[in-house]
Amino acid sequence: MPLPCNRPCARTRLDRAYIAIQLDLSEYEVKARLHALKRAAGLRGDESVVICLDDGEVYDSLFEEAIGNLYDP
Amino acid sequence: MPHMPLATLRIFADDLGVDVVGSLIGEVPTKAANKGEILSVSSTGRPVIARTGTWFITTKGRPLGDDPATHLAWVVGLAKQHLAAIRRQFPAVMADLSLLVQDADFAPSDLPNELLKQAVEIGELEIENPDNGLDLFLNADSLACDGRPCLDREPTEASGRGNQQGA
Repeated sequence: MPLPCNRPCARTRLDRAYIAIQLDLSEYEVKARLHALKRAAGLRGDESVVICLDDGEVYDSLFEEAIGNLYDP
Repeated sequence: MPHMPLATLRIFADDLGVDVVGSLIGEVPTKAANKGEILSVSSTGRPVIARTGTWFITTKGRPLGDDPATHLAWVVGLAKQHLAAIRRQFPAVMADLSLLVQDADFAPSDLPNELLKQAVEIGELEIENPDNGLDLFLNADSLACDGRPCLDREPTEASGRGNQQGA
């Protein structure tokens, strides 16, 4: 399946600071929004997601479904 | 200054009717959709489909102060007040809760004992404290240490686990 974004990222908690810089969000916002997106989708904190660094879109780890976007308020 | 905590409540079931849930609870959900319907539309315009019937609410933007217990108590109270009535309409309904605290001085063991007990009676509770690399999953079984989470022991599957993985 082709990647839905050009610059995927994610995997570890350490990446959140990097994600925040790339998306021009605060690290606090990234953590809070990611937490809420995952919980709304029924994902637990220990379940990986993939974040597109070009548009902030967040996918489940298999790239099967979008669960939201880090720019969503 | 610590960042504002965030607590969430998710009520879910495949046959959940979110309009019914909304009318019973009387709060505007952060997100809600029946199974297979659009849960939200992301900033890129891409629809997010609900894998199961979902009624989801958070404490974001609510004037609850910066005490994590107050945020958790708000979602616990909401569930306690309404879950029985929702279950009468949708017997298979389930719920889970979470608490995100971005404060290195926070320790889950600071949360009131009774509040934790009430939370896990509703459903699984995730407590995430990324500043300390902590991600606990608590349920009724894991609150076995005299009603307290077994936080002073090495994390196990039963007592929740520290988590360094997952974005």
